[in-house]
Order: sequence, then C-alpha cells, then structure tokens
Amino acid sequence: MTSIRTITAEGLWTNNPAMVQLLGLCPLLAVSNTFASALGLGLTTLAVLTCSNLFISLFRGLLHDSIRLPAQIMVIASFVTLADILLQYWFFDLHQRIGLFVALIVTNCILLGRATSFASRNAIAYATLDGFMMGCGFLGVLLLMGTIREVIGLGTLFSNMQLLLGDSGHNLELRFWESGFLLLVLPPGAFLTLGCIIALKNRFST
Amino acid sequence: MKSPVTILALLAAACGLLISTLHALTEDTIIENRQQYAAGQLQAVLGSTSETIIQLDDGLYFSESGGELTGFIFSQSTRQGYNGNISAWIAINPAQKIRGVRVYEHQETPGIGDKIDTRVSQWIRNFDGATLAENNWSLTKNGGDFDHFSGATITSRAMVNSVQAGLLTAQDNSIKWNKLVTGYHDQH
Repeated sequence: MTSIRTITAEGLWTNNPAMVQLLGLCPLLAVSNTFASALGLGLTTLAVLTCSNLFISLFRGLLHDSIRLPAQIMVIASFVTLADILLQYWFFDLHQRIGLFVALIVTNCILLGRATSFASRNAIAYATLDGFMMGCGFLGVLLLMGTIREVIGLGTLFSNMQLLLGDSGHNLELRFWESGFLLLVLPPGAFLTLGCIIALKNRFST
Repeated sequence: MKSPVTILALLAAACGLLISTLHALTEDTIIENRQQYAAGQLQAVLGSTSETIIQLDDGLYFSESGGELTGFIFSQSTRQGYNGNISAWIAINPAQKIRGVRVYEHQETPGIGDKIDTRVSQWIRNFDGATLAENNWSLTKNGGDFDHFSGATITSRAMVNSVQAGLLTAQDNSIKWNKLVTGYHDQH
C-alpha cells in the first residue's frame, strides 16, 4: 500500500499540500511575494516537517490516543523553536524579514495533518520520506508563486538573495523591466496566482 | 506500560532540554547578531564611521568624536502610516539640525510605501539638513517643503509628521539629554 513511489507522487503532485489539500495557506500566501523569502520559509518548513514526522513516528508506539494530539503539537512546536533559533544564528537578516511566519509554522496544518494521518501510523523511514516529500511539494509551490509574483509584480527575480547567501547573493538579481504589475505583490495577487496554479494543475491531472 | 501522563511529561522534558541546550549554545552569537544589526543601522544614519556611538537609554544614543559631542541619535515611531508602526532612527547635531533619518522597521506596502526604506529609494535623504525652525513641515502639495513620493501620500505624510515630532521631542529634552551625556562622562 505504501511505497516509496506513491509517497513521492502524493507529496509532489497527487496530494500536494498546497495545491490539493490546500493546507498552510497563511504562510504560502504571505511570504510568496519574492523568491528569496519563499525559499527561506519553504526550506524551514521542509526541515521542520521532516524532523517532526521522524520523531512522531519514532514515538508512535508510546503515544496513547488521549495524549496523541498534545504530544504531536509539542514535538512540532519544539522543532519550530529550534528552527527559529538556528535562523537567528545563521541568517539574522532573513529572520528579520520572515521571522513572524516562522513561529506560524506551528499552526501550519500541513504539519499536524501529516503527523496525525501518516507519521503516527507508519514506520520511521516511510514517515520521514513522507515529511520530506510533502515539504518538497510545499516548497515547490512556494517557489513557483514567488517566481511568478516577483517577476510580474516587481520585474525582478532573485532580489535580496544576499539575505540567504551572504554577500555573493548581491549579484544574482535579474531585472526584466523597470516596474511591475504591482497587484501581484499585494495580498490579492497571492490569491489570484494560487487560483491560476490550482486551475492549471486540475487541467493537467484530469 | 507507563501511564500516558508520565510519557507526555517525559516527552515535554526531552523537548525542553533540547531547546534549552540549543539556546545556551547559540545565545551569545544571536545577541551579537542583534547588536551588530542595530549598530549597523546607527552607523548608517550618521553616514560616518569615525564617530563613537554610545547608548544613553533605550532608543537614545549620543555620538562623539575626539571627546566632543557630535549629536544625538534617537528612535521615533509613528502609527500614521498605511500599515502598522514605522520606526526610524533620527540623528541630529548639537544645534538640532538633522544629520540623517533611517527607517529600521516598517510594514508599508512593497513597491509603493516602502520607498521610505533606503534599500528601495533615497527619498528619506530629503530630511538631511532640515531643522524645526527653518522648514515648513508638511508636503509640497500642502504648501510644505517635502515632496511626497507618488502613490503613497499617507506614508510620506506620516514620515514628515513623525520626523517633526521627533525634532520637537529633541528640542524639549535637549537639556535633559545633555545632562545625561555629562552624567555618562562623570561615570566613565
């Protein structure tokens, strides 16, 4: 029933957290206005999701039904706190920009959703892979939205990459035109972009 | 089989231990990062690296060069912007003339209101050299001295008002701040 192939396909495409399950929309819509912040939050979510799935699967035998939810939330919250500390340690400037949304990863339904529906019922290797693939699926959609919104909305791509890469990131910015179609960077643009992506996805998968 | 509560408690202890260990390991660097970031912002307001910046109070600094007072840097916030707080460092010389203004925290609309940020536009330099008495503190379209940037009258007006309010505070507290500097020198 569960194989590496189905877990991969589910995470990346058929059951993609952002395009099919429509989970984690708050960070998805909020930080996808530029490629750099999308990449930063996407990678953080990926790391937290993989680790929390691994841990929850590891302890699944011990977790009685009555304490399963609090225990899962506690594990997730712990990993988010760890990620928050590490971000401040390595990428302080980036943390200044996306720090607010890092704390919100705890409330990202993808994490609790995968913990409850997959990690607490499957072996460690599968659970870890599921966390990783779901994280990749989420990261992929974040990056796609970040690219579309930044290119059309601001006319640039890879701006502010120095927040992630240090000084070498300064030269990465590509400029396509002077000023963009601003609506795409504003909140309504996030909904429009996601709507178009979901529509296209549905068009190709049926 | 242990009771669920014991397991939950043990798990909580393990999580707590993990977080506090990492916190203890990284704390010093994080505090250093934070101070470096704030200090970088302060240096940028002055536009000079030869002066020493010394903290007097929360959000209040003075700068000196060769033992001589070169001015004050203080934090000024306003809620009149388009979205939330706009906080800026304002640097003045001892004669209450603006040396520089730098916004260090804001959530203005990207692409419109964020032109107050030097990473986006140099608009904020319009305040350089301004004083309370010699300038008319409103936008040019209201007969004042400061141009607004297109599309963001609210943000521009908020900044003009905020800087003016900052200068008023500086004027009112001038004697107190100078006393603080004297006090600092007496202690060190």
